[in-house]
Amino acid sequence: MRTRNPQSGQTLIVVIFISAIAALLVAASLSWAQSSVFQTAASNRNDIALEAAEAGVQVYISRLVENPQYWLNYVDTAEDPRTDTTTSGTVNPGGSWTAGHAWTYPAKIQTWVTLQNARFGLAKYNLRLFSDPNDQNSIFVQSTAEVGSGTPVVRSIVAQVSPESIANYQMISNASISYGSTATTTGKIYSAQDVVHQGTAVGAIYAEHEVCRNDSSGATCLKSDATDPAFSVGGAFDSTTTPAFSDKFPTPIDFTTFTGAISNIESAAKATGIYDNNVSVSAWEIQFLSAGQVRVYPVTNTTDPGVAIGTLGCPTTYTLPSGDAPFYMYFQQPVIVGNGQNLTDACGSTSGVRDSVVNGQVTVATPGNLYIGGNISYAAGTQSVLGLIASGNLIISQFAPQTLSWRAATLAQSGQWFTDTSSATHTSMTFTGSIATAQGGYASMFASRTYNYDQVLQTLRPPLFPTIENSWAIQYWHEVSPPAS
Amino acid sequence: MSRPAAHAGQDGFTLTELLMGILIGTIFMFAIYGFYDSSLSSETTHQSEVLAQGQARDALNQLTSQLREAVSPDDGLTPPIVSLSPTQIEFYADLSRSPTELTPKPEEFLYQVSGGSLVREVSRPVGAAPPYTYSAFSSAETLVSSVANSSSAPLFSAVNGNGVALSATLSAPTTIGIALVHVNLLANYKLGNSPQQFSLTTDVVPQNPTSANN
Repeated sequence: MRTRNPQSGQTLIVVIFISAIAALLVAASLSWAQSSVFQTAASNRNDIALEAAEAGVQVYISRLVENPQYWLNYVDTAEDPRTDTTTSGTVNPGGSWTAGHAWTYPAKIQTWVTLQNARFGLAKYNLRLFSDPNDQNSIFVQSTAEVGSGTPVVRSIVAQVSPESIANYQMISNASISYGSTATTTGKIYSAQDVVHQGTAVGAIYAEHEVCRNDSSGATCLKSDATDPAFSVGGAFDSTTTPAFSDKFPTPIDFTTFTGAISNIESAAKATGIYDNNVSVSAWEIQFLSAGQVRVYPVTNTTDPGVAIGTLGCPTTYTLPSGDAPFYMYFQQPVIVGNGQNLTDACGSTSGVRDSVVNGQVTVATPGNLYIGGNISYAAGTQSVLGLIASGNLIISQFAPQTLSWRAATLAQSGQWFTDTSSATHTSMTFTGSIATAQGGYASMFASRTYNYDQVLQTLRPPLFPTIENSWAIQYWHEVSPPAS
Repeated sequence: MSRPAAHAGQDGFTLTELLMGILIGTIFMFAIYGFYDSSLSSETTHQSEVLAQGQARDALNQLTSQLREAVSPDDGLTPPIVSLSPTQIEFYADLSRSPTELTPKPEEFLYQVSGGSLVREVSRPVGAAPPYTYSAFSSAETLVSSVANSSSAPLFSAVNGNGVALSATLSAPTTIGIALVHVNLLANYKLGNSPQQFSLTTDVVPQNPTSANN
């Protein structure tokens, strides 16, 4: 009988061969799957680290909304210990801080606040704060987050945080606002009543009552047109929309709160700027010079600075600080910025029309009216900005040039923003800047009127220009290298 | 004379057995080869997919991280995003990572679908302070080599603060209305020898303010 033993070995070899190939394939698949899992986990940790850092900034903003002076008076619980550069003392997280004192941080991060301990590991964040050398209203918040253990992912962001300035808006008015069919508005518009906009709005529109196109009667909307395509870029928000005006502004803008900023400007002008108070003068005329100077003229024998200037006194010339340093001017009597009529001062030292070229960062304020008499521009190639604040009215004088061009952030805190006459006696006006007016206004003295929002005001605001309550927002955000941890 | 006993049990296969064995062996080898070929093809596909996904993911991470930091180059005069269309986006971003550098001096970035690839180009700022001048784009870098996006399958689209879709093509100043940029990258890879496609999608909220956003 023949044996079949020699065939059994071949079957075993084949089985082993197939098993080896299958094992290799399984190992390759597992390796691929593991690599994908690691890649996904690393990617998610990366995203979570950024989100945790963002959360740190938002938490700090919420503290500032509750107490705008928080960073000056407290060391946050997520902050590293501050070392006082004046006393050399150290204040730990959660402690009180002496306002006005500068501070430094240790080289390495010492404080972590846990946010979550979930699928991709422990997420925690740390805060460091830096004051803004150019704007005492703003602060830089550096938030660093760490996710995972072993070799954690660390990301850090810096956010410049400040309250929103009224200069961030092309127009803020407690009264209804109306724009014609040729108007294109590029900045944000706010009204405590209606906005009638027949043109095109690139910036957002906020109206406490309604935003409409042209079905109005005396600048009053008959129905909301907030969803009209003309408003599709920036969006329109009123009492009928979702989100509504009240969602965007739980507390409507209150013009009475701006008096605090005006007082601060008065104090700053007394301390380091120009402060004038002389009951014997009718007004003060100012003229900015491109060399970084400002001339101040006392004006006398003038009953209405909106109509004509009586006597222009001898000027005093001041030099504005160089660079980005702020400068403040406060006059107890009305202020006139330039003149478009030919005038010679009492000393005979200057004559002709007086246009202004601003070279500096200046805010001018008065408890009375402020008049615009001449053209205003900014020196080319400079970081210049001008803020004009009238506690009363802001008036464009009749002696302004026939073709007026001017640029500024403006506020008529309790009055109107208007031309001294409603008759079209002048040719055209081009205004570039922002307008905030308690009682609305008009500029019908000019046959043609162009209003441009000055986009520079988004980031460069006039010194101590009023801000909107509870409106802390991020002005500049970027990712940075984290501190050592 | 008798045959030696050592020859017992050494009978050979019959011809039929041998042919059957060869036939079965051949069929078996073909099966193994098919299995091997399929594994090789699957491995190639996986590799192609992994490479394409990795490349696309890296490109998307780079794009989103830079777009998130888009900032005006001149204190707001020019919007952070210069233009947007279904196949390209142009914006300014300062990628410096120093915490003490608090004033932006951004570079200008252009991401576009060009010749079936996603390409990034950069223009560097000239000048010490704003307004900076920008020369022509240079340093073209191919981020994803095979991209299927077109005007009918947009790579970029945008919505405003209300979540309403904006026009497919935007340029300054209307780009200030952009509150969110939707990115949908369609990339190609090979399944064996046949081309396949996958999409990576993300939304980016530019963090720095524009005048239209509240």
